[in-house]
Amino acid sequence: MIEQIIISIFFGILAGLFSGLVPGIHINLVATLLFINSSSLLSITTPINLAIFIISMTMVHTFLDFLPSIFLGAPDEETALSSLPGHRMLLKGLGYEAAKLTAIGCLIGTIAAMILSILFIKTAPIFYPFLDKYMVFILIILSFFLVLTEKGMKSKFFAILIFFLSGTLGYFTLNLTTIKQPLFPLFTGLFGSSLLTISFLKNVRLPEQKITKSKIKKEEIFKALGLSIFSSSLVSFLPGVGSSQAATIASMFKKISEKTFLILLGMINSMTMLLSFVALYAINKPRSGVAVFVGKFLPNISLNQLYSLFIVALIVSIMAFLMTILIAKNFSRFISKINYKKLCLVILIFLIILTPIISGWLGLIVLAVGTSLGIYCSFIGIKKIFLMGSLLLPVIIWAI
Amino acid sequence: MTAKKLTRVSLIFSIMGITLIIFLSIFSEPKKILIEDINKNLLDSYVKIQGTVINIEKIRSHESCFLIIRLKDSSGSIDILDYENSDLRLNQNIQVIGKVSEYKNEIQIESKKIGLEND
Repeated sequence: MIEQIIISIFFGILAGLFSGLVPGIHINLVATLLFINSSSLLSITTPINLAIFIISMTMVHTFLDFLPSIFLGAPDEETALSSLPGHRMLLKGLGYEAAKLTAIGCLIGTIAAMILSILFIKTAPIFYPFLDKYMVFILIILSFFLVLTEKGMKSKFFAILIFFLSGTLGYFTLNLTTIKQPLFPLFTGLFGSSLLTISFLKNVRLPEQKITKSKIKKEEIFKALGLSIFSSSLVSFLPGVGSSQAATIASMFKKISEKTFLILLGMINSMTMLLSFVALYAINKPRSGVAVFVGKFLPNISLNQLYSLFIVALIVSIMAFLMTILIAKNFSRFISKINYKKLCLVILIFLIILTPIISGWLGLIVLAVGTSLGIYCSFIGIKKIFLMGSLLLPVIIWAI
Repeated sequence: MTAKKLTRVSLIFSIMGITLIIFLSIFSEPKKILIEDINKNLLDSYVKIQGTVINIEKIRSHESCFLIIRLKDSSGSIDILDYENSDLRLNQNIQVIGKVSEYKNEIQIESKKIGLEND
């Protein structure tokens, strides 16, 4: 029994290392592969062990996910926004500190989510039906608020343009019946390969990275915590809204520094992830891709099972925190020594090869269009979160 | 290439590409396969199947209302979930395009488009 649990955690951590560090690979993809092979796996192990595997992978992924988006300029949809302050710090030679701040945020978020879950389980069955009923309005209002974060009429116009262009692309891509895993080429194009292409074209040169100690005031952490609790509880119940939108909207209400923003992003990322498992128990609805699979393995998840998964999540989070710091330190050492242009090109080629394998040949068209729209968005200086229209607009259309 | 030129090229390419994807989503269809060839490897992908309706069951819950249609072809039979509640009769020949999914260890199809058989 205990050996099986340790084995599940071990493989979960390995899978999380892989999906977190390789740009473009999402945990949902690994979970799908696991699910397809679940009948043969279940002959040697139990459903709870598969759930333990998934939660271990998820936690490691949540922490490490920030590393490629800070160091490589290849963020995926969950961390698209961290590219802004994260990249800014990287260009100042503070990549390590940026990574450390998000990791601190993730760890605090994990603990906070566990405490919050007690309240959540009690209140979710009351406020969820309300949210569900007015979901379309809430999503439209949220999108509207996001547009308001852009300054000036011209930027607002372009933000709306990007929202609708990416929304149209997303809606019709998700409607394609001849493509597998449509989200993979869509998000890789919009958020990954577009930035890599720009880094490649623009000859980005990184300064020598410094290993600095981050000085963060306690008040800043509490400020981030308050904002993240508010936004995570909302986001974990809304489809199509990711942690980066949550962080942007949260930062609208209170002025926060670049560093606090990174902590906030980490907190929201781990909180929404864990709360999506709580939602599975409290309202019987999975609110994240990985929660879908845990729900399939444990159809009637009990409170005991939920808390067992949480204990695993906490232990793995502490390990993931240490791993993130260690890897970030090593990344910082070699990133300024290697040819950044070549590195971006290699990853770009890797993503182009991966796309037809995962999604079929049509995936390459989606990847190319997504990449070009992502490049356009960067060139006109509009925040990348508006590209999330690719998911928000279809969700709004389906809900109407 | 100058930044201005690149901006314009990326916009034009995006719009052309989105138009192409709109066309593809309207006109492209998955390949037709036999029911017996549907397995777990096809989970989450779309398939096109053709067959006869042998049972229709109406499911009502407080959240939604949908049909479970049992479809049979020369190789076997499978459940089709129809959230559009199409107007169908028993023994009718239909063509279904839908996504392969799993419910309680049984493979099923979530229909996207149901049409009368035309060939």
